[in-house]
This record gives sequence, structure tokens and C-alpha cells, in this order.
Amino acid sequence: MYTIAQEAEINRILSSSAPQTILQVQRSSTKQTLKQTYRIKALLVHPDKCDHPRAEEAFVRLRTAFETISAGNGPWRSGDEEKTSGMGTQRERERQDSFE
Amino acid sequence: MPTAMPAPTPTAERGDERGREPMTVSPEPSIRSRSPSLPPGSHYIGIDLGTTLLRLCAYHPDLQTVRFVPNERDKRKTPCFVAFPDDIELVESGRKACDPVVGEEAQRWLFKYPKATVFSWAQLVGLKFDDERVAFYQRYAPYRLVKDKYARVCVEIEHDGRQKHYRPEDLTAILLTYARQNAEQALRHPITGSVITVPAGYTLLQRDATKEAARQAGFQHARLISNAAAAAIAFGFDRPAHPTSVTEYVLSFNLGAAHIDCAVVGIDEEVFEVLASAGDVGFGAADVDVRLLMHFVQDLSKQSNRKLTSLDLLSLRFGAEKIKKALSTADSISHTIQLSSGAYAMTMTRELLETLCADFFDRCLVPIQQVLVEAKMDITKISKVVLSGGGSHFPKLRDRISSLFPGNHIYDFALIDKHKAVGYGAGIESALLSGMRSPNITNYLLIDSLSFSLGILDTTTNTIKTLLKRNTALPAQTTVTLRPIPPTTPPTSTPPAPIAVIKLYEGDTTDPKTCHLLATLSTPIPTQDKHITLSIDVDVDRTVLVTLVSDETEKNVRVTDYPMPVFDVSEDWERGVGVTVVGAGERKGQAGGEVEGMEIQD
Repeated sequence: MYTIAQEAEINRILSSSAPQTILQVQRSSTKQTLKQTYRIKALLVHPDKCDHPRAEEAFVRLRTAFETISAGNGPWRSGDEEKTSGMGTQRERERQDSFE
Repeated sequence: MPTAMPAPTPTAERGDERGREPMTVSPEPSIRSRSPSLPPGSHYIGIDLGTTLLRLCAYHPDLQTVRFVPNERDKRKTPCFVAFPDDIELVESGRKACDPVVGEEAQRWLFKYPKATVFSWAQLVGLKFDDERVAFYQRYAPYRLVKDKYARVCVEIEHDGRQKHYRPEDLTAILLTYARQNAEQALRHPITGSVITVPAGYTLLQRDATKEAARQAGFQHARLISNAAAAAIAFGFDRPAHPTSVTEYVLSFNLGAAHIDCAVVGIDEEVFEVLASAGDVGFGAADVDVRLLMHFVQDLSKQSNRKLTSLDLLSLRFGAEKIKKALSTADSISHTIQLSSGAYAMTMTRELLETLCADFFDRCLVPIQQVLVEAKMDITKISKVVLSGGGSHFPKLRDRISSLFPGNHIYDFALIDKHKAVGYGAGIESALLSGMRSPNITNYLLIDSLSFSLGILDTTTNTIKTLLKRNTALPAQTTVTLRPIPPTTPPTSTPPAPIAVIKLYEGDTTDPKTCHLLATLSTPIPTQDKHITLSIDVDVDRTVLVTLVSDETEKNVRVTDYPMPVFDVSEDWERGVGVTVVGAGERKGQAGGEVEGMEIQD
């Protein structure tokens, strides 16, 4: 059994590619927020909590994204992307708004 | 009474159908559709499967929490004994001669039928006969250990005037059948799933053998968790309210009769993550008994020329266990052991015990250092040390461990008995897998990790290239590109074979001799410069699925290392070519996503 929310989250994770899109965190996020977001999502999509056939795949993606972000310190890529301090990119802001 | 059950077929009679032939190659897509969890509404039970004791813990719907399940003698713990007594008393009570008896019922036959009463076999599960631990075990066991056709260890039981061979997992299956029937009787509903605790240092082979035992015992799904992880879950259940959103790191140390388990667990509210685990299988508190036993034998030889029979050794061994337990609280103890040549009275002090076992405590601390290094964890970050298992009662060991950590960090369980911490943890995990939701049990999630690295043999260097490192969180997936290596020998009359042979190993070194071969797989290759894609996929139950893609062929192999390593190669595999790893392993999750600039603040 899995809920609609779980299925939606799995589909969202599987259709995202960038780590911060998978985790829905912004560049201003603290390690606290990152961990908390990861924890909430892990509880949704871990195969022990959700028997959706693609739960395992989604969890591995989530986990990899979390590890990638946790391992890095500071910006990995600076350049063409619109940069704002503290609020994330324009695109991320919009995405964030649509979730709220 | 759940004691009567059919004996499992001994190995010898089962051999033919389990020969080398059955290749675990399933072509159908169902190999991918894995549902480790049972349908909703299935009942799980937590089993603390120790070397000497078994405890059952299950969710109690009325109390809305987990409780230990009593056995038919109304005890919360069952000694791990299986006996095959050929006794008139049993025949008269209507039991068939070949039916095994389990638990306390079996323990009472120990001295009457020492060659047909097996105990402490958990450490033998999945071992090769020529393992040094088998030879050590044999020195103090009244029954014989023999080799089966796969060179694995078997217990020989004298039974009905004939010798029968039981694999250690067959004995575990008998015990688990008893446990299941016991629980079904007490809980009044069928039980199809189990959460079984095993030592953290169990290899995939030992885990597969335990899962096979659970399957034989009628459990459709068995989740194996380490003793240390189970104790950590019990800690999470027991601990006082913790400031939320602060990750707490605990070191869980479990000293059982024949294993040491150690794990660093990060607890982030309801998510428990095993960051690193290590263990010593076949070494544990029972080694203290053996040291005491050797001391007694030496003492007796000084006293007089007493002859010791094998039964005397058995009495001394169980006497030593009693003395060891008593010395955890008392400073000295006087005890008398009845031997065939008369009573043996002795006084033992805790000081002498600690002298006899000085190096024992040193060895206990090795896994602690190991997990701290592997988890990249500073000692000051560990907030609590959770001790569990019978062996953790040694005052000396407590002192040694607390001296490692600054300040007093040893956690004393408040709500639950620390003997039962592992069982509690298994019970809570079983309640969660059953899908029980109760206000008393938080919806925990245990993220376990690999105990040993998985890698393949790179034939150019003859070393093992690690693909999934130990302590990788489960489930885990990885993909790697391989290139076939043509043989270096000059071309002979035989054309090079159009297949590549891939050997999958489990172990922590790069030397194939010290690692354990899990599977030998093959895949056809069109030409030798074509690359092969290999994916390894380990699910939450540690089932390993290997996918080989070369050119247009795709092949899925489920690696189950039981009862033999997988040999999936075709007839002419000896002419097959080796492979080399090109490019580093890539985690499947990274689907080429770009990482945008991001800062993470502490």
C-alpha cells in the first residue's frame, strides 16, 4: 500500500535530475534543513515504508543526492546561473512558491 | 505443544536436487519486481536469535506496544538447544523417534544424549569446514562436525543407530519453527514474516543461510538486522526526550556469547542510520567460559590424577558459565561442580578471571576503534554508548569502554531491561514492518548498510576492484563499464571465446584469495573491444541483483550464494576472457544532473 503523496513524491524524484531539485533545497539552506528535508522524504519513499515498485530506485536517487550535497562545501559551479545571495535562483524561488 | 515437528531432510538426501546445475538465472522480468515486504496485514515477529538464548517479541494490539512472547513453559527466553533423543520416554508419549525436541525440553537431554544434543551452533552457520573457527569449536563440542559436499560444516548426530548430518541452518530452522509455532499459539494468528537479529559481521553467505532457515521454518519474509542496530532502535524507544532536529550519534556495542557487534548509528529523530558497523563472529563471551574451563582443567591436573571424561568437560563448561555470570556482580564465588570422579570445589575471584581474560578485553575494543574510524566520527561526537548482550555485564569491560569516551557516556536503559534490548529492537522493527501504527511506537526507519564491500575481479591486475564499499546505505545501486581482456597467451588453434567471465567477490581487501567468491557470471560479447555494462543492485534485504548488458543482450542474475556460489557460465567458459574496469563506478542516482552553485552552512 502506498498513498497518493508517496506516489507523487516518487514520480517527482524520478523525474528530477539535479541533486538540489531532488531534495528541494536551496543554496542558502543550512545542513539542518538539508538533513530534515532528507529525513522527511526518506520516510516517504524508503521501500520499508512504501511498496511502490519504484520506491527503491527513488530512494537510491534521494540518498545519492543527499550524499552529493553533504559532501560538497560551498559552490561547485559558479557562472551562467543567476545568482542571488540567500534566496536561491529565480527558478528555485518560483518552484518553492508553487509548493507553498 | 509446539515441540513436535517433522525433522528436516538431512543434507545427504537433498544433495542431488541442489547440485551445481541449478543456475540462478531467471530470464523473466519478475526478477526485477521485488517486493520484500509482505502484503498489508501480514504479521511479523521479532526474533532475538542469540547463540545461547532465543527471545520472541511481538506487537501486542491491546497494550499497543511490543511485548515478549512467552514459550510453552511461560518463560520469556528459550535456550538454543535442539536434541534428537532416542528415548523410550518420548516414544511412550507418542512422539516419533526422529522428531527433534527444542529449548528447555532439549536441554534436559544434554547429559543423557550428549552426542545428540546440539547447542551454540549459530557461530557455525555458513562456515567452510576448514575454517579455523570450526576446529576451535570442535575441541569443546561433544558431537562431531563433518564436511558436506560443498565443503561446508555439518553436525553429525547419532540417531536411531545411524549417523545423520544436519547443516547448522537446518538446526536453526528447527528452532525457528518452534518459535513460529510458539508465537502463533500465543498470539492466535498466523505469522508470515520475521525480523531476525544476526551478528553484524555475518557475510552474505551466512545471511542467506539464515534466511533459508527462516524460509524452511515457514516465514515468507525474513528481515535480518544486526544485534547492534536492534539495540540502537531499543535505545531510541527508551531514551529520554531529545531536542529535535539535532542528530544524535550513538555507539552500540553488543557482546553476545559468540559474537561482538559494534555500530555507529546516527539518530535523526525517527530515522536511524547505521553509519558503520563491524564485528567479530565466533569470538564472544563464551570464550571466557573456555578460558575458565582451561583453568579448571589445569587446576584439576595439579590436584590429583583425576581423569576427565567428555561429560566432565561439559559439566565444567556449563559450571564456568555460571561462575562467569556470578562474578559480574560478586567479587568472589565458591562453587562445586559434580564430576564423574567426585565433586570439584573451587573458589574463583573476579580478579583472577580478569587476569585470565586480559587479552579478551583488548580484542573486544578493536571493533569500537574500527567503527569510529570508518564512520569518520570523532569520539566527542558520540553522545551515548549503548551496551547490550550478556557479555556487556563484565565490570572490567564497562570500565575499559567508559575510559575510551570522555565523561560518562554509558547509557543505562530506563524502561527496558538491557538483556532484552536486542529483542525489543527486533520487536519494534517487526511491528513497523507489519504496518502497525500506535501512539507508543514512533514510525522509525532503519537504514542499514552493507557489512562488506562488493567488487569484481579485474583480470589485468588480478585484484578486486571495489564497486560498492562497505557501510554503503541500503538499498544501493551502482553501474560500471567493463572491457573484455583478450588472453595474453599467443593465439592457439582455438578461436577466442565470445564470452566474458565476471567474478563477483565479497570482502574488504583487494586480494581475491582473502575475499569470498559470490558468483561467476558470463555474458556473450560480439567483439573484444566492445564494452559491457555491469549493474549491481542490493536491496533492503541484501538480495544482490546483477545486470549485465553487452551489445544487444541483457541478462539479469540474482545472486544468491546458497548453497553454492552462482556459476552461471556456459560450457566453454574456461575459454572465456577476463575483464578490466574502465571508468569509476557511477552511482545510478546521478542521472547526469548538473549541480548548481550551492552553499551549505553548518
